[in-house]
Amino acid sequence: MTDVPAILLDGTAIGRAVSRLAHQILERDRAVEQLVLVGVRSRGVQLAHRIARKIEELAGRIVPVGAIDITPYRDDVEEPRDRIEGPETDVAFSIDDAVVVLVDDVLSTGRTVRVALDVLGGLGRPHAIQVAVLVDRGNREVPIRADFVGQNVPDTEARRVHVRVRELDGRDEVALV
Amino acid sequence: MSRHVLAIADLSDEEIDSILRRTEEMEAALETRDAGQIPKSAAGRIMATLFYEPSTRTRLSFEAAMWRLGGAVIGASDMKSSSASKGETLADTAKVVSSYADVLVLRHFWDGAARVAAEHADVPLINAGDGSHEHPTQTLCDLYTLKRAKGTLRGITVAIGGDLKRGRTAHSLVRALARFKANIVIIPARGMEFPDWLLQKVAEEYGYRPTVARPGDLKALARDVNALYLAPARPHQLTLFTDTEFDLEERLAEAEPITLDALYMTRPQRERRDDTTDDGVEYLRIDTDTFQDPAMRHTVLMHPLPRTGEISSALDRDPRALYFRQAASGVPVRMALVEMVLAERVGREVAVPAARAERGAMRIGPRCANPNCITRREPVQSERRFRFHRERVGRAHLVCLYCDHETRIQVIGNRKSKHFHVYEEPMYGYLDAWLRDDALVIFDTVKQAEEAAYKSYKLGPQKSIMTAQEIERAIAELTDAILRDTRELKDLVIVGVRMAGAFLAHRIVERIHALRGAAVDLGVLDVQGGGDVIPRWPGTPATEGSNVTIANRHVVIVDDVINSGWTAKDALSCVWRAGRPLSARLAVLIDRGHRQLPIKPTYVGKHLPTAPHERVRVRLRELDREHRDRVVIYSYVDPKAAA
Repeated sequence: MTDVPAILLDGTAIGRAVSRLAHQILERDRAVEQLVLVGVRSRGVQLAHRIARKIEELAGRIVPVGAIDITPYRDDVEEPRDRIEGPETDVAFSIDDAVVVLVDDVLSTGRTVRVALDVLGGLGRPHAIQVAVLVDRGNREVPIRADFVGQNVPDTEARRVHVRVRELDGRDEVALV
Repeated sequence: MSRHVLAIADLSDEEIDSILRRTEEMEAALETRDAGQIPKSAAGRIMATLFYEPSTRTRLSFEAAMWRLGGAVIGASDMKSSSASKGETLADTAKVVSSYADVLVLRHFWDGAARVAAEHADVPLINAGDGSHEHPTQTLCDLYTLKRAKGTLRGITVAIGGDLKRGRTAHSLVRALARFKANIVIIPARGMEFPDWLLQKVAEEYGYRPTVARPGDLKALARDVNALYLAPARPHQLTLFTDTEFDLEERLAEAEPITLDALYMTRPQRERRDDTTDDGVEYLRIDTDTFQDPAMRHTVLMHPLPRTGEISSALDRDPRALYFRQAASGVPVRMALVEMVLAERVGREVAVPAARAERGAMRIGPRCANPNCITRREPVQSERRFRFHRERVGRAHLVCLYCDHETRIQVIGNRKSKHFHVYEEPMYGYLDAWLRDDALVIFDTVKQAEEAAYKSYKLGPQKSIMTAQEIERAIAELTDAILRDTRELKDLVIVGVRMAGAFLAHRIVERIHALRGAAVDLGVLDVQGGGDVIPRWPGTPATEGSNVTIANRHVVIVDDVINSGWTAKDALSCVWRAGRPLSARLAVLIDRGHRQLPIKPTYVGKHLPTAPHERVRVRLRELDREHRDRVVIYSYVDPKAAA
């Protein structure tokens, strides 16, 4: 066990991972017309925008990008209530019948995605919801799976994965801290 | 029969006019400060106030109104200290309390709660605000204040700003203003626009769509705009723009300058968002600068209160600021309304659709799509929960009679032939015909239809794909896998999804008992029912109460088949509503693939890839007429081919 952060992905590797995610999404969801991306605040939103730009490059189509904030619904508080939308939720398009790709930086227990499914359910009835994550750590506490994964980083040690993105943190980096 | 006031639409134009006139008389009587001048029209009558949410102005003004009219008030201002905390339903509370009083006043946090209470109350019920849905008495105060200030409602221009998504006062007001032919400009904060169901309702009822502006438009108006222009596209259809826009000359040709008659502000509804910040949201805030503009010379400023910074207190002395007068009108307005409902004669037609023979209401309904609807939280006894809204031939959806939200039609069934089919637009003719034949039933899912003993329209040939022995073996393997992953049986709770999933869960629990000699908690989860608790398996000795404990335990959800994942997602939501588990796992007898959601079962008895048009049905001996276990597969046949 060391205190020195280990860099798992640098800027170039993150760029490659985003590109790979965009390719995988296009491969699975050929009908780009139905595709929308929704990022989980905060870093999921930045990643969603990057994936959307890559899809636009590859398929020549603009994919709508929205954002949801699940902070108010975190279940580490007593008496959780299934409310519908978060204050910072910004999905300015209909998700009815859409294929929604939910984008987040790290998937671990699955609790965040479970809440996000409820939030999206309050916004409309999509045809399907898929999950794209930059890093999947395993360690599920809820039966949630990722459809698209940039990098698997098994949760074998008690170190946390820290994702930094240049838009918010000044640099792109995934580190074990 | 009682007369209820659940929404502003429950009052006719004549009744509203009459209430406003009577309010004026009540206000004049109150101003004399002579109790003898005030009519004692509620003498000897009792009002019960049921407030499940905090309230100052609404509750006190209702109570003051009743006392002024010579009546008395009973009630609990904090229903958390009432039987509700013991799990009593709102329906039961309304039934019981209506036997103590002559009129009920309800405030509740669930949309549509007022309608449920009214269906069970034996006396008139007045809605004092239900969730994000309606607040009709606040609207009466608003209309009264506006009419007094402007002399009329017809043709005046009112801007409504702020949190329009969750602000129930704004929801009721926009419908009332549209009805009285006022021009409406809406200025929502970003992400807080009026919900679609409301705008569609206004369009449907009054052929009217309000003009939408942005907070910046009003700021521009305050800064350097001499007038605000509204260009009627057709009567009652307006386009708003300001002279900061660069195609102004072109647009000015058809426009006429107007000034706003009223600006109605609302606060951000934090309590409906579980939120404490408004960072980054452009929220309209009114200060002395905004109101110095010549265009605002005659604009009155209104707010339902409490305010949370949307209106500067520097404006309080401005004669155009009417919000305190609005609040003061609460007593005379409610006096007029209470007098009216108490004077209603027995036998009058009730305003609750559930008590009306309404064309298009269904015997078995799907679940409302609004997660905050009372029908998802409490069992609703009424058979009629939806009405049809036809956009055009071929397109129809359901509108919840309780909360007005729209719900898509998923599966339609014929009550007479006991057959069902997944709904698609080309099937509109069948829907219409079955509806006219009083045979239409609507389900949320195919599984729900099957469990109601409906068959796929002209069932294709069935093929057995799992025998009783294979099912028993699969259950044994699922049980063993669950036990391998469980350290302490006391921390485990197994929850079966009605119907077949619950019987599978029961067999798993029995097997654990046989293997380990330990009783494991077993709950039955109804994803269609809602509610915040999961009842125990019927017949279980209820040593710890009638519901299983979810908080801080490892939950295993058991279902028969997983396909799209929607049922599993709803089951997870129900579990989290009942408490915060340490973990949740999912055990299914059969996984068909075809996932539409990112759900991965933890334990699978059998992977069975199937085509989308195929159905897999788990038939368990507990539910089967032949009392035997089997799994069958069959294909749909289009009803057109069955004609």
